[in-house]
Amino acid sequence: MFSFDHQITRTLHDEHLATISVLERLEGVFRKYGPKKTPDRDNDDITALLGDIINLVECDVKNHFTFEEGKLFPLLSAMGDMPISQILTGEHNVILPLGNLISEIAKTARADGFSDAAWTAFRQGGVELIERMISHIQKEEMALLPMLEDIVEEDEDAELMMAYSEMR
Amino acid sequence: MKSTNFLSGANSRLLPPSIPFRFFMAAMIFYLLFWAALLYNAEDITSYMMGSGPMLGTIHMATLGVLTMTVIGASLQLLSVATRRAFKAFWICRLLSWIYIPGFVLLAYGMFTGWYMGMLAGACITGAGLLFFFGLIIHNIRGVQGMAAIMQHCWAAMLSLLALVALGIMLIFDMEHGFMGDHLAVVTSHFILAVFGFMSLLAMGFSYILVPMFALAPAPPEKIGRLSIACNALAIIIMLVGVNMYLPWVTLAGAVLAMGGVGLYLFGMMGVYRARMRKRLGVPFLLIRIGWFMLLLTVLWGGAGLLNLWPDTGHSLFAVLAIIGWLLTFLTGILQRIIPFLSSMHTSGSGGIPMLASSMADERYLLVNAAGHLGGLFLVALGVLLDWTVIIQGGAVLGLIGAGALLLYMLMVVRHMIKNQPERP
Repeated sequence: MFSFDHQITRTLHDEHLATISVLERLEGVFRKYGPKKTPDRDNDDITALLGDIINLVECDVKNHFTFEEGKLFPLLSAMGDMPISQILTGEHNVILPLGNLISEIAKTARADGFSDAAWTAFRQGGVELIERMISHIQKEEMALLPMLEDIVEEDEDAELMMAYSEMR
Repeated sequence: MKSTNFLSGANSRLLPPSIPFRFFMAAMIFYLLFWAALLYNAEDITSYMMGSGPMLGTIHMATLGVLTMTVIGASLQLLSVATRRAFKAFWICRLLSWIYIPGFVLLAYGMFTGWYMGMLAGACITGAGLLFFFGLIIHNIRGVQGMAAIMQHCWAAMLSLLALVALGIMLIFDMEHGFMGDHLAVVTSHFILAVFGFMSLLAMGFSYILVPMFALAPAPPEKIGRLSIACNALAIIIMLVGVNMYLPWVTLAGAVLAMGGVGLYLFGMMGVYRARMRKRLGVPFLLIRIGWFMLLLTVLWGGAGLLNLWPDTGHSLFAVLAIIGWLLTFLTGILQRIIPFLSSMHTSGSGGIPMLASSMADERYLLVNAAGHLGGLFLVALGVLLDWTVIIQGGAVLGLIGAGALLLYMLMVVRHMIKNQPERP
């Protein structure tokens, strides 16, 4: 795997791994259940996955994005690399509402199961979320995290880690 | 190799999309024409060794029309981002396409029809385009700090390009004037420099950037790449010496060294693949992995030939494995991945919602492309091995269908990209 020396980059990288794992499970469900094949309510695997998706959006998406925008992007801007922050912030602005939508549908579906309309909406949004999120993680792994490895000092790393722990 | 932050500031170093995409679009058209030409010439493939005619045109349709065209488009865009030295004078990149593409069309027509003056003029214009490309790349990579293995691949590939262009033009002269002592030895040298020296080394060098990026994996250790390029570059020199001095054991020693270089490259790539974060990599990586397998098969088959173990059609099968099996399969996989990635980069930003790659074109076309290409490869290789024309023709039809699907996919992506251009500040 990528080897990162700082705690903060390792933590963000681990969250990316967890996110990809959930998204690949979701992708597997979409392969199994097409647009017109709404899953049954008593499917334990899907119920568990919906719980993971709700958790993913709350923790690994919302907190992760807020932390990056509040603490990390200013660091990059200070060293003069604005474009990558702008690209990632632009993507956050698209992914977060999509994540919220999926999370809301997932909460309802956990309680009452999917209606055909809810499944269609969940599937459409989910497919889009997977594609956008993977592409976003790709940019963060290839650009953001290596840059942070270069610019963050040891004491700064500890401060960032503490700030992130408090947010979570 | 360290996982460099080479995407940082990538948007500011993206070329206008018309530059890489004009080369990719031309490559897709020639990809279609290549299979059509192979269908037309299926009968000649197993008997062809050298000389002008439709088979020479068909081979160059693949090498110069598809592979070099793709490599030019990808190199201009990729190096601009990787070396952090954007090509500033876009008109030079455009001029390159205006020289190279028409020059190649004339060359291919001349080869196909056996028209000597057309071939010579086409070769000179195409060669001028390639020298232009050489100048652009050397200017970009000269003095780059870091990414030593990738830069060494680029340097070796560019030096091979110079030599292959010179030999190519000399070979055409020789067809008319017959001044060469051994035309076949020079043909073989031209083939080694083009297929292994220029195209394979660039494909391998860029793998160290593109494969980790698309698979979400760490780059392989730098020393693997450096050792691999050292073995491969030395192997090419040794094989050239062996071929031209009629020393089969020297050529064989070069081939063994090439096996080492290729083995190191594949070992590095397998490490990348195993360590990937994204487990499902889809159709493009199926093609890429089959391309790697075919590369291994190519060097092993080449070694078998040097040990006199080939059947009568062994030389044709070697060319099929190297050009269609390794290079075309690998680059088709890379193109399948790079086209949506680049197009989504070009349709995002400036306040608009970034477009999804999947919404630009139906991805099932990529599946048809892969099935057609792989089916075509299998049948053409089998047909060559059995020397059975109808099987080769069947393969060419499958390849043609696959190429048509990729061209349609590309057209749809380009149409969406033109409609959804972000405003440039």
